[in-house]
Amino acid sequence: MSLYSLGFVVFMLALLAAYYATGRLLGRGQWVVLLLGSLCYYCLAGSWQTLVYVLFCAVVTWLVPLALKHMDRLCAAEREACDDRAARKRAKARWQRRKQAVMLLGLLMAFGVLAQLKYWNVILYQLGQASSPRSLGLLLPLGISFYTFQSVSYLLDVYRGSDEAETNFLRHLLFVTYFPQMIQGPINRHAELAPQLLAYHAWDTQRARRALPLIGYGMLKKFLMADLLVGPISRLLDAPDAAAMPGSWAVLAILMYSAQQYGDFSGGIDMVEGISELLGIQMAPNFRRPYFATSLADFWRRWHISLGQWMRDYVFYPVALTRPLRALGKRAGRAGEHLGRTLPACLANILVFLIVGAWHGAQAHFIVWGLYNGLVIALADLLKPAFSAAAQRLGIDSRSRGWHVASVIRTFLVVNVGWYFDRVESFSLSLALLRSSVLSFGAAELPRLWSSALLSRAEHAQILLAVAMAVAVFCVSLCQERGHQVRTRLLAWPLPLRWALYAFVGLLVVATSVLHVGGGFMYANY
Amino acid sequence: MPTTSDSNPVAQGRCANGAAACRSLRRRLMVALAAVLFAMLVNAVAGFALGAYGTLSGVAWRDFRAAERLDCVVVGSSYAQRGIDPNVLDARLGTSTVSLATPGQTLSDSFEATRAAIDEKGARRIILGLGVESLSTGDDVASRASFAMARNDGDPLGLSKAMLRLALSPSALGGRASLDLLSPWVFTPVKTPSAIADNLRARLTGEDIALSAERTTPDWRYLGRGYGNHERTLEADDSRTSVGVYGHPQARRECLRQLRRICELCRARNVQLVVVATPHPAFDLRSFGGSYVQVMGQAAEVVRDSGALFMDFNIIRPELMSLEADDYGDFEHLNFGGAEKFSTVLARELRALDEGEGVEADFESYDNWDACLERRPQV
Repeated sequence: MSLYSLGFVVFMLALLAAYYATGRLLGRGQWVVLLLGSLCYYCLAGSWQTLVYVLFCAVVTWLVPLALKHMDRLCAAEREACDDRAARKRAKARWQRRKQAVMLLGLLMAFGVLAQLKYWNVILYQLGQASSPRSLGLLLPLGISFYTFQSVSYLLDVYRGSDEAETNFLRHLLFVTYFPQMIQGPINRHAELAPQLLAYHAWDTQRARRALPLIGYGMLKKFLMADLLVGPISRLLDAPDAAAMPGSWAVLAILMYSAQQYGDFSGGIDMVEGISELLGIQMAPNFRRPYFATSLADFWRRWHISLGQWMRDYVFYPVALTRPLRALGKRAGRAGEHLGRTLPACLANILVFLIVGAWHGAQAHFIVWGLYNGLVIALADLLKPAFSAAAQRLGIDSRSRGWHVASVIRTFLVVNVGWYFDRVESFSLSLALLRSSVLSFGAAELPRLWSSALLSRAEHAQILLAVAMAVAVFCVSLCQERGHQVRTRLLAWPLPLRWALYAFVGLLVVATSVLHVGGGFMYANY
Repeated sequence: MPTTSDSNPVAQGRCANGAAACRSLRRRLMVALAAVLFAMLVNAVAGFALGAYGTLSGVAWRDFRAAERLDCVVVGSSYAQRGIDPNVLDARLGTSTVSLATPGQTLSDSFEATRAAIDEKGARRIILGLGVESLSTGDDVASRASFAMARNDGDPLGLSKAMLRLALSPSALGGRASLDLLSPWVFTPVKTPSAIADNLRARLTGEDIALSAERTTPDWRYLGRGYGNHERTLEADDSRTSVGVYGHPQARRECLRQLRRICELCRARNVQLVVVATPHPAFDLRSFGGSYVQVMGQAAEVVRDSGALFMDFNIIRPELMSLEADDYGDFEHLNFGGAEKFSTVLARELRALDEGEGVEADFESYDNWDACLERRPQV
């Protein structure tokens, strides 16, 4: 069941009616309606057979924290019974090791399912036991990465003692299966989401008025930008003779991919955030105008924010603070204080991005893409003092507007270089395209692309429409980046003007159906 | 007379709050209603400008409605729409025939067309033209929407009901098309600025919809009785085949069920049903491998079990019909010349049926499929 479908509209109307009626009549129990709605949505949008994976993940990540809490109580009891401090210390260490083992078992079980579905076929293929990386036909269930990451974050928060274990399985199941996040995130934290899911929410017209423009904006990004570019990008980058095309064509294709990925992912997130707002629930933000970032590190704090924060809290910090890396940092510190401080972080960053790359897929180009991002960020951190010194020597004011704009453009270029490895499936082809983009750009060849048979007239129109939408998105993003509350300002417009805008947006979204393009969300089955 | 509420300020306050809440709710409902009406108005204006005035389905149903009575109606998808020329049938048989075959027409819509032909025009014969794709593709919302719009032209309530039924159908409900059905014009759009201008002009001047359809449909020419075709000939370097374009077919249970419904409807109303598999070039038939015989064999069984007639013109004896490369418009459709030749042969077979002669001897068996293919002109 697509988000843009009559089925989903009927589903939402029924859910909203039941949700708010339950709250009004009973004063409580809205979360039960939400749980039933979420399970229903999963069966309709995914398939009921894959519900078993969600339930398994929910059971594991519910039982393990309860077990950890139980072990805490047993540990406390045992320590109280100890005679001396040394015995108490030994008891604590013993229970800590047991807790660690239980926690690791839980992680293994939760991630094991994801890993098996994502990588098993690829591993067999590499070992010559499968005819192709997809021969087993293992399909990833809807949202498996997102609910796995989300439930594991809860498990780890309880392990660390920063969250309480949920004793009610159904409440935990709601946290795992809350439907707006199931398609492609965001990855919410239990401490922030669960209280909202369980709280009473009254219907708020003002909140609904705010949610609808967000949903509309998301639809525009998805249907009027992302979907229109899928075909032209594929024509260029998936062509049999793609390696021979002029560099300017490759650059155009990658720029289009830049817009397509952003439109698809952030557009989808806008839609689900708006849908969640209709229920009175704020999800974790996931995009903050990433193409206005001033460095690659800043970019990854603005793009898929929830994944970045997850990686930071559960991979980066634990790895960077391990004894070996701290020891390495100490040794490196002898060569320089900055080196000693940043080297562990750099290595941890590289690992994080390798994981992110592998999460995208087991193919080499994703690993390279992850490595590229990790290395660039690591080098930027390591060379920061050198860059600052150079800027000072050249008299560059790093707080000036010009430098800010230059940083944004530089970051945009760096990010787009990375997209070569993300979008192009063959690593050798991505290198070839990158080489031609730099060494044989061929700007004069661009008009030839327009007149060639490679792109149809319909695709010309699609590109122009998508570019127009990209310009509009840029303008809105620029306003937001400057601190303007675009939604608030829009809602302050006179009613006829707002209606005219909504009608125009609706017409545009409907009209894209004429072009017969697009499909589901890119990250839906990750 | 003074009442308790007159003297009780709390009760007075409650009444005032309740009245304010009622007014607020009424205002919100009015605003919501006005918003819906505004959206409908915008949609109607968009449909007026962007929805094609002249469509192939529209022309077919216009000719159908214009006839008082009809002896025969042709139904089916583009195989029938481009392959069977009702003008030729009428000239040869002295009948009155209209083609209600439309591009992508599903068998469920063919059932609707059949029912309309029998109930509204008293048709005594239905010719259902089909191919392998008619029996193996799922519900196509776009073609069903076009059919419904043409069928319900001039009947907004009928159209709304048809669109709602389609939007709620399992094939549409969970997909984008279900919301697009609220704006049916997206299924028959005009796309370029000049086409939009022509469309508006045609609507405002009440131009003949066949003329408008000729303008909006590339290479298409209207010949009458709901029939038109494309001025195209199969190109020598066109390597497309049905299998290459649509994939390997398998007869869908739902399609066979709809076929059975058509057969039973005709049997119940004592109407002759002739199911016709229209000719394909030999290279296209070869691309199917064994699946052509498998799928069409199942269709033939359903039709014959229901007492209707099944004629596959791909296994007609070569001395009775011989089509060359320039009789085809593409890998699966006949052009004007090919449709004329084929319709002439079809008329001959129908005449034989009308005169009580059997036609089985004119057709070979699927058991000799490979030999049949060898004996055909090798297009």
